[in-house]
Amino acid sequence: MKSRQGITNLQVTAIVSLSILGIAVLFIPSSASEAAGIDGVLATLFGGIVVLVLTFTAILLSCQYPNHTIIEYSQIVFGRLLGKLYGFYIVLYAIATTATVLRGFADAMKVLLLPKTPLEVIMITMMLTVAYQVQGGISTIARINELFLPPIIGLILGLLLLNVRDVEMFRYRALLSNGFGPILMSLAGISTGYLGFEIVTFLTPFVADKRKLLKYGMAGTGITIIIYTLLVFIELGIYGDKTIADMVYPTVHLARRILWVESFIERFDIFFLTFWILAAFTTITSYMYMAALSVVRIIGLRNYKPFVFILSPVVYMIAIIPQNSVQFTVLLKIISYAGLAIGFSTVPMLIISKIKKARINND
Amino acid sequence: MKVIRRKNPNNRKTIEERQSPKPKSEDRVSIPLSKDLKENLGKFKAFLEESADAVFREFKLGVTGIPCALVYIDGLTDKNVIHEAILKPMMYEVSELNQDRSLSLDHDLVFDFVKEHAVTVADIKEVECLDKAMLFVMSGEAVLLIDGFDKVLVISTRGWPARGVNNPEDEEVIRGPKEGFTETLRVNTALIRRKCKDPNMVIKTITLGRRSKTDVAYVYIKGITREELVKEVEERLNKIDIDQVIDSGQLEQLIQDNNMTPFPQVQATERPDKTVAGLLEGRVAILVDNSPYALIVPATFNQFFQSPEDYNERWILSSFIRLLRWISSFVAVFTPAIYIAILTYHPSLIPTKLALSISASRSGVPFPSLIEALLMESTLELLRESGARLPKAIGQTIGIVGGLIIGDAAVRAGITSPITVVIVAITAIASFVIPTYSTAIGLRTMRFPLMILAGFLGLYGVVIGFILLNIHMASIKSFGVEFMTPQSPIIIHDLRDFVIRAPYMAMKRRPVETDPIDMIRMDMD
Repeated sequence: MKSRQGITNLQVTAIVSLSILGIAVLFIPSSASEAAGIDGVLATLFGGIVVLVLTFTAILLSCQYPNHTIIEYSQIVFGRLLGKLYGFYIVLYAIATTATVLRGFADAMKVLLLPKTPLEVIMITMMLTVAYQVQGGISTIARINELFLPPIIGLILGLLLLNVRDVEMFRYRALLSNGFGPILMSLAGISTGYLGFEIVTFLTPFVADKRKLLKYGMAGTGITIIIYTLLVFIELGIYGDKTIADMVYPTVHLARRILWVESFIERFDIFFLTFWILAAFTTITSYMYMAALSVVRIIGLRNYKPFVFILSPVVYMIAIIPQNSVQFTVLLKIISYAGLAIGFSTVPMLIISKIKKARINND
Repeated sequence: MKVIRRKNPNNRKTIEERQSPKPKSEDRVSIPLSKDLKENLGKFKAFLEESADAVFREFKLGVTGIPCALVYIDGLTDKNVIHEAILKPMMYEVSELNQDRSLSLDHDLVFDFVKEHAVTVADIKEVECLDKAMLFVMSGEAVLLIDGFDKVLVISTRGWPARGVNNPEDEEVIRGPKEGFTETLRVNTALIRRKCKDPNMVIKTITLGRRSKTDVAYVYIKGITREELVKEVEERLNKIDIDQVIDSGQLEQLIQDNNMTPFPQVQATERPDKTVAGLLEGRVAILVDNSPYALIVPATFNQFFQSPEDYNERWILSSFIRLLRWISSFVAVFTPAIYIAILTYHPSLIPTKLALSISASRSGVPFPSLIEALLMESTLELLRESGARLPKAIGQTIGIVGGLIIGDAAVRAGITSPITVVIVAITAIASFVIPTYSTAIGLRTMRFPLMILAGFLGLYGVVIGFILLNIHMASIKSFGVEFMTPQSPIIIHDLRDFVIRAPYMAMKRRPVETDPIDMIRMDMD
């Protein structure tokens, strides 16, 4: 038997893109148009490119320390104490993000699919499924991501394809009418929609073939850039920026427009949502894995599996904190910028580690 | 001897106590054979005297008068061989030989003389140990004892009433060979040899079962199958320490990777052609004496959806049928759950007219759709199980009574709605499309937890069930190969023999999932 230890490169692509494609799929068009109006399309594209660059630095950095996760090599880069603090920050971020995504998922489920089911039931069942998945190990997570990527991508592309004829190009005449100013201003906000790519800093020790990691990891981000940009383009083309900005889940509206084959399926949005659960699940799984792994690595243990069952209630407790969607939005914003900070921190880390390596080489 | 481990120390004590006075039959007599015929025969008799089917035939070798004895089990041996090829030449023709060719019949050389001139059977072995000789007797060989020698002659006389080579009933094909394995190991290995005359094909045999001493053969082709895989199979087989190996179905569970799963991780087949195809893909086949099923390892989920006739039909048709099988496997697992979810939580998902007619037909039904569907699905399983065990003639009656009368009457009585009956029937038919019985039943069982999830959480519950099922299946391995190959991990090369059965010109190489040594299957344009 050829030893198939670790995860394959295609699996890395799947993990990265499905970690990004999560709850943000539902509302990225409205946040884009809110931030940049009709220029939201370009903002989404450029925001994606910023994240692509960050993915690039994150993978380069991780490849400097192929046998460590970010928790361990941050202690090499920053020194022990600062590194521990940084690691602690990541732990908090990962736990909080798991909770936030879980809450966002449950909110959407309750509003769109199961109005009479208690929020707690949705969250607990999801949390249990995620815990079962995460304690199965990274190879199972990788395989599940690989299995779910084709249907999720296929469904979103199908949704876009069925709506593409309704795009009214006249709306794009106003493109860039205010110059690049609004785009640049909204770049940071849009980039948060691409959060999830941080998972690459946790994958390197488990990847079988590390040489191609850069290409495949960036492909993962690339897929989501294409999907998000197309999604925003079609949404803005159909509804216009003013309408979109007021919608809570514009992507679901897009799905609701579809009346397929003389209304054989009357509510395509429900069909879409059921598949979207898979995307939300993989995102929560990635963050949960990140949280469990970083907690264990920061303590210095190897086996993270028992911690999944300690973390799950904690995540649940955080997830039920927001009382309403306003509080949730605030929480999401805070978390997003905290995540973006981690993404940007890879740049100085890469520089420091390069300098350190160069110094060692000179000596 | 290994002691069974139990958590309660008292239990363990009892077990040890019970095991301590082992009346090991080997202890009653010394294992090495002596030169005295009476003593040797006594050793055999010590074991077998109480058994009615053991035959001890004492006779004298021709004119020499040297005492001999033949030991065999009546019923396992071919009487003709014993009469014509052993007793007749030894008792009668030996004297003629002696005169004609003036061969000396010295007492010291008589053993070799018998072996070389008298016994006219091809397969003969010399054995110097009682244990081994005993095993041969029990497997149907005749053991010849000659006075003055501390060894015996084992003469192949196996022959018992056996089922002939029949149609493989569980795996019928429309196009393809119609012969299936039987209960006799030798016949089965011969069926495999007939399909592939490659001298590199190795058939190794080991004996398993502390008491049953069942012959287990594992077959592979040197130069295709990886050594590591063969070693892994050997290791797992050698680990087995059990009193009886009943069937390959039991052996399968003793060597499989994961016990906590309803899915088989070993492919069991009645068909020699399937077995040989597996061997040529770099797999190992395991045959168990007394079992008409061969085991092929490693097995992937994909394999259970392949049928030999896919390769005998044109690829377009085969691919269409494969697609049908995959869709119907999905239908068999998820339809009732989706039906319940839509009816209970999302009636807006279906067209208004259909929703109206469904609700009209369900108006008289007192149960929620979950209970209704569970009831009908359970009835279906009940019918299937009762039909499976009954003689064919009564089985048909069950089919008519169950399917037609109960179904119709249940609708009229208002227990269930016609639409539920339709859904249940579709599910049943879809589940029978899957070519492998054990996979079909594994998938079918998954319906029930999914239905309950759907009843409580709607489509969200169905998706949660789908995710859990996927996680479970993605975590299984079979002899080092991931169960969901080639979907996950994606092996692009192997996708040619997945939902689509590519034309032969596109399948010039063997599948890489088993990592065969010789990759080239076809070398032509």
